[in-house]
Amino acid sequence: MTDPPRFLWTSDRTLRVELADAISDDATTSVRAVLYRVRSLGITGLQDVTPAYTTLMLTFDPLLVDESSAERMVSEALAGFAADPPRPDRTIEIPVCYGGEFGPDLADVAAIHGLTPERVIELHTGTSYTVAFLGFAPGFAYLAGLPAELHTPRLSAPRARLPAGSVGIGGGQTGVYPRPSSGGWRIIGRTPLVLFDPIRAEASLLRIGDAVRFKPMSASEFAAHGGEV
Amino acid sequence: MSYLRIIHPGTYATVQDLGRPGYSEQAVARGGAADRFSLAMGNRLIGNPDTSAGIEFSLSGGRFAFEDDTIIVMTGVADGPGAARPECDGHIIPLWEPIELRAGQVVNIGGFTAGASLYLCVRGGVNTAPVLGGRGTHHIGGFGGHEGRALIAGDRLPIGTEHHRTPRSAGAAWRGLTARVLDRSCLRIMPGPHAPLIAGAFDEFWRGARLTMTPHSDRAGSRFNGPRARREHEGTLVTEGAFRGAMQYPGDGLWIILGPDGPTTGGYPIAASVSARSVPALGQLRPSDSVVMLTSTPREERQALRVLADDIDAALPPVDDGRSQVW
Repeated sequence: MTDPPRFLWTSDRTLRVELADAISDDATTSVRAVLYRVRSLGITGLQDVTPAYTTLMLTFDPLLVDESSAERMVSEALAGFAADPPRPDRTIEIPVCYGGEFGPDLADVAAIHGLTPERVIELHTGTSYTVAFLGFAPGFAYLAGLPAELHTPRLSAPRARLPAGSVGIGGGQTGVYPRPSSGGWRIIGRTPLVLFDPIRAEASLLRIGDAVRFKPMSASEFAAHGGEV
Repeated sequence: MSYLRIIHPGTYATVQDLGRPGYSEQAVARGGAADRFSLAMGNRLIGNPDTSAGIEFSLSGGRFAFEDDTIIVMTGVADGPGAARPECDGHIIPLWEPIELRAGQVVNIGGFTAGASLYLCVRGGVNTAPVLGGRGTHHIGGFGGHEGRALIAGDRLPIGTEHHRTPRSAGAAWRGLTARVLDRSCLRIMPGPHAPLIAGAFDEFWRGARLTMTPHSDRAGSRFNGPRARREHEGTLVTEGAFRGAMQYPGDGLWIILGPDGPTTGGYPIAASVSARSVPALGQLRPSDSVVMLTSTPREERQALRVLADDIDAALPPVDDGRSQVW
């Protein structure tokens, strides 16, 4: 963590709070701790908080924001947060049907690393990931913890259309596409779980700080789960 | 319940309101009208709260009718060649003026080339079900508005009953105010989080610089051709918060200004940020529009916005005391 944190007004309505120089587990934990505190402070004019790997972005109503009091309150939120570092309070299990039509790039990922597809699945399911934050599109979770053996370059040309629930690897990251979209990640499987449902009490299945484990499932289990084959 | 019937949506029409702030943690952008000013002020003119939903017609207008007598107003860029000239039964309906419409009367907005977003506000508001605190259409996410999608011919939209005041005319001073807010000749900008990586001396880099909008633009983001900048930072930046009006520089003279449905985080450097008071004009830019960048600072922009917002509220007060979050 940088000491003190760096404040930067990046527009007349956004305050960027930088807590670390590089991505790390510590940085992720700090961001989360600050997020929890900032949420509860009732900072005047605050509309939204956007956590990321090393930063939080606070969005204000520009007519209501008071620059100095906002900075002071965030500073106070930072002071002494180390006393109670937040821990993941729940583990979300995501069943995945790997390979075949569900994971068209599984064989390539295995070949790139000189592994069998079974070993790729073992490695992918054998790790506990942490939701560093959600970003990009509704319900999309940036997961930390992909084993180094599975870091794989993206496809040279993105696919035009991926089904919702596609599980991919892109560089050092893994994640699940909540909605049908285009994408350059290598797709190794698909989950029947709905990652984002705006009508649900909590729209996003995953929450910042969650522990996530992937679990293999068969094609028939996938169908029984209501997944579209 | 009364209904609005879409006879033709034009190029692209969606239900929009002032957006759904507060869901960034779930990666849901605020969304809402591309030009929140025109939507909110349209609502004020017909006695609705600022937050009522209306229809946003993008790039061209459509045709519509109501199943009962009602009061409507259409707002957006009203002046100059190419401004929208909606008509009904052979009569032009001026923008920014509330009118009474009888059941079944068809309004044809038609094409326009000045401004990009035309709003239809109706007394009582478009009453589609709120999702995550907003009635606006989040097209990429497939939710909100009418079935989470753009409107098509034949859609019927329910109209609400919530209104607080009789319709009013905004008065003579109003025309000048809207022209001031929707001035598309310039955008006020200030340094974004990665300005030093791109622009070096910010004011110098942008002096006299123009951006020209390309057709590769939508509610997620608009692409512009503009000045070539160095990128001292090759390789990827750490992904961080992005926002409406953030000016990303992927390279090669291409600029992306994020729109209301843009991503909540991103990895391209954000070289500059469009000021809150320029965001309504940004929402009115259309492909091939060319705009001058004027540099400013967050403090100056907040001060200028306070003056502007006071002038607006004095000329056309909100119907309720609630904070409107137009900006």
